[in-house]
Amino acid sequence: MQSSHHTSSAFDQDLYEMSEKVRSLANLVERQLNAVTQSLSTLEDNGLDKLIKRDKKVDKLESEIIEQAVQVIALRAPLAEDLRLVLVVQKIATILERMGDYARNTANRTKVIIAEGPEAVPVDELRKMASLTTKMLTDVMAAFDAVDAELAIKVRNSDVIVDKLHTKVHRSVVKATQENSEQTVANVHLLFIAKNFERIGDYATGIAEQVYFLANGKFVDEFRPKADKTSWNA
Amino acid sequence: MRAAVEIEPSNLPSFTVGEVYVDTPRMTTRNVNVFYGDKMAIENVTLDIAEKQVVSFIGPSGCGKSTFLRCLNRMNDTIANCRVEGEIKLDDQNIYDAHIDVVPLRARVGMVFQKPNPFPKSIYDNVAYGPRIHGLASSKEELDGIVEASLSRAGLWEEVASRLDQSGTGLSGGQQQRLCIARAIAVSPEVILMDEPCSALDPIATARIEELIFELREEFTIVMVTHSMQQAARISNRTAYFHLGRLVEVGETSTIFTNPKHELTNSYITGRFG
Amino acid sequence: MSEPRKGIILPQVAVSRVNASLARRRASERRFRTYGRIAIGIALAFLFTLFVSIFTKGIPGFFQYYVTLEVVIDREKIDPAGDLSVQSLYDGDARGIIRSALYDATGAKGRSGRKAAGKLISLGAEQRLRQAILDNPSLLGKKVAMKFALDDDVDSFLRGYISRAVPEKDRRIDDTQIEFIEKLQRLQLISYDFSDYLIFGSASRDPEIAGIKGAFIGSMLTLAICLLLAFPMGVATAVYLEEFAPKNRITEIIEININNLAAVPSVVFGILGLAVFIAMFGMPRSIPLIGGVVLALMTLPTIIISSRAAIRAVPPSIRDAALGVGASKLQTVMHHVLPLAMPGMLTGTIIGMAQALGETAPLLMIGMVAFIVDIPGSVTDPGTVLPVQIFMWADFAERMFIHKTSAAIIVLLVFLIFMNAVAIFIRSRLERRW
Repeated sequence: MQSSHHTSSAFDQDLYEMSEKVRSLANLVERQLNAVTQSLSTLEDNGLDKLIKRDKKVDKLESEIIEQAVQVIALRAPLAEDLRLVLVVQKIATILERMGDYARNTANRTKVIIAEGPEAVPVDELRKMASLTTKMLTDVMAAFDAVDAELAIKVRNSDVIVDKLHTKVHRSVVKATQENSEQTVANVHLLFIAKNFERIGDYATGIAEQVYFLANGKFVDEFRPKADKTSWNA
Repeated sequence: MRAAVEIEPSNLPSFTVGEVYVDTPRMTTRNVNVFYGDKMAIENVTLDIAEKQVVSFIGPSGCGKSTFLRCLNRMNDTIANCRVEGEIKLDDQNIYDAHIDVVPLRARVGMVFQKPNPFPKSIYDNVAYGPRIHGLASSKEELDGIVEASLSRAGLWEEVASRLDQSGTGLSGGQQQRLCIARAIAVSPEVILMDEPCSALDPIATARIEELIFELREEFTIVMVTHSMQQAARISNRTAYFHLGRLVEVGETSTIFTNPKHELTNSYITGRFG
Repeated sequence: MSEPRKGIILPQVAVSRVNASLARRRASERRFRTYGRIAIGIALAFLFTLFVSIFTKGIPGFFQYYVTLEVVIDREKIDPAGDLSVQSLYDGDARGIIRSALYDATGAKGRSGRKAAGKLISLGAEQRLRQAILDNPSLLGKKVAMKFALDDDVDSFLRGYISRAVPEKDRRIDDTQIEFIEKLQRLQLISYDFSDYLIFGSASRDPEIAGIKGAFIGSMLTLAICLLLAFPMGVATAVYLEEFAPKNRITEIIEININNLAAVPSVVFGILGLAVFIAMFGMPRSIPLIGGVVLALMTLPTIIISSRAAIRAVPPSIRDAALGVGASKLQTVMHHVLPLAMPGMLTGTIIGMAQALGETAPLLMIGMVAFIVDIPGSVTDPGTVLPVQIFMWADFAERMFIHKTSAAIIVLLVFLIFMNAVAIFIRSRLERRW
């Protein structure tokens, strides 16, 4: 990210390491999302337990990044864009950890759904949501790498599609439950899974806002378009 | 995020970035140039110094911040080939006007120096010197009062009250610098110039001086040159960044240190000059 | 271990190379120390020789031989006018009174015997008798034991410089006189005592009564003039040049010339004094006033240079501090720079004064070498100074002057040491104030 160097090369090294770590954390979370999406769309347990275990790694990486941020702040007293980078990196790490939690939670619920064997699973929409949110994560990390505020805003605005999908899935599952109350348990889990992906999308917009702050030194002040209508027509 | 900044004059802005003017200026400088012989040390600096605020001058060595500071009470007069152009006003009065006497000017614009420089006299005489030469006190009692009040305001009274007749040079570095501040405020100046007042002090003494400056800004307008960006960040209301004789950027301290506008300021603040 | 890079010496290699060079370095250090010690040794040896020579010759110069005589102070004889005036005493026969006492003591008889006895005693004896009566008129008409200086030839004989083995006609003391001296010695009338003439006597061709008082007072008067002129002028010049003068061609030329002046031989200043004060203004020769002026010219560069160094040594931060609270330039100089520079200035001044005290050449040029018996009472009375006195005495033939010269040198040295001590004292006193 930094194209000109600090007088202190160890400072450069610290910042570089932090950025690298948050990148690998993002990659790990992406892998988790991909894995859970795969199991969910095929309704086959494809290493879900492994995935759940892997979440520990996500947590560990997050705490490492936060520790390093504390160290850099204490020892290097970063200012201006350096300060923003450190703050943003540790914030993104926290957000990514939450995303990881949702991936794990989704994996747990997927296991239940597979066990229950429901009939009316809106797999297509869920897969769409999953791939869309995963792409949002990929894109927002690209925006972070390039400190590209424009790309970040684009990611942020794309969340509206996730919201719309979520509303759609929500309605169809609610409808399915009304029609067939035997599947209630599985359907509740489906609702939560959809909600999880919706949240993951929200978190991706959170990262996008951090990237915008990193680039501009101020927060996005425009209103973010929202299309989550699930709470209005329950 | 930003392109690499080369340190060369072509990168300098043709005008200062940020808020040069303030609503309640105590001193104003307009298009100030300073020359040492043929060499231009300060080029086209325009800046308002706000009343009862601390403004810090930061920048790399040789950027002209001390030179500019010393223009504000004409301490540069002592340098033989130093020439100042432009306008520096204190109360609508250009201090470089031909008929201006530097003696009352320096009583109004006091100065504290980098190295603590108490006179090799008693603590009392150090503080009483300014009031004596300017005839501020009409009686011994009044002078005693001025000395006590000045030392108290400089946070030194309790430490030296019992040994006012001892030499000022026998104090510790931090105490000496506070004595110098007491000496400066004893003549009731309106503006106090401080040229790296803590650079010769340890962190504890520095903290005490910083705390003192923080308190003094209630009553005085303070202009401070510092090499410590943390110090500028801690105690100044506004910060001005000088580079190669230009005033590159000036603004609220909080803005300068979190989101500077000019890339030179950013490079300096984040430690990217090497 | 990787291949050592060019320009990088491995630590173990470095250690062995350092060790290899150690012996050479230690040897050269030892050699240097030895040279230093030899140099100091030689200097000390010279100094020691000088002091031994001066003191062995000088200490006897502080003493001389006296004879104690029972003089009958006949009122009529000593004071014919009876009014105890100086004139009356000079008209009186002091010599006769002393001589008769001497004849009594030696038992000299006959014309030749009395003539030989008369030569034993110094010519200064009469003056001493007159002075004693002036000081204490109650002595009149009494018989008093008084100490008189012996003639320098007798002194030299008693010190063993005149050998009896030398044939009588080649001696300055004849056999009769030796006989009288021996008789006086037997009577224990001859004593070897502190020479009050050296300290309180003035210039004289007779070594036994010659003293440095005149020259000493001449030196003091000359130095006083020198100090009064050179110190204020030197300090004022230094202050102006350092603190006020603009830095331009003219001040530069002045500076260079002051430095050059310090290297001008002192005799040139003497010629200047001679040409300007005596030839042009027609002032009298030999007076301490002109001597002081000439010496002041000579010491000015020293004082100016040392004062400027002292002023420059005052930290600029003190000037900044004073200017910073609004002191004017003059106040800054008067209140801060001068007091701080004063010890250095005084040291320079005293060194300059010590130089002036020892100076001979320029004073020779303005005639302070004249033989003047009277002690100068003011700066316009003719006089001489200590070093010139030493110079003159060193030139005289009489044996006794060798001792007197060395004794005078000791006095001069003591005076110089005293001045240096004062310089050190002043400096430490002033410095302790801060």
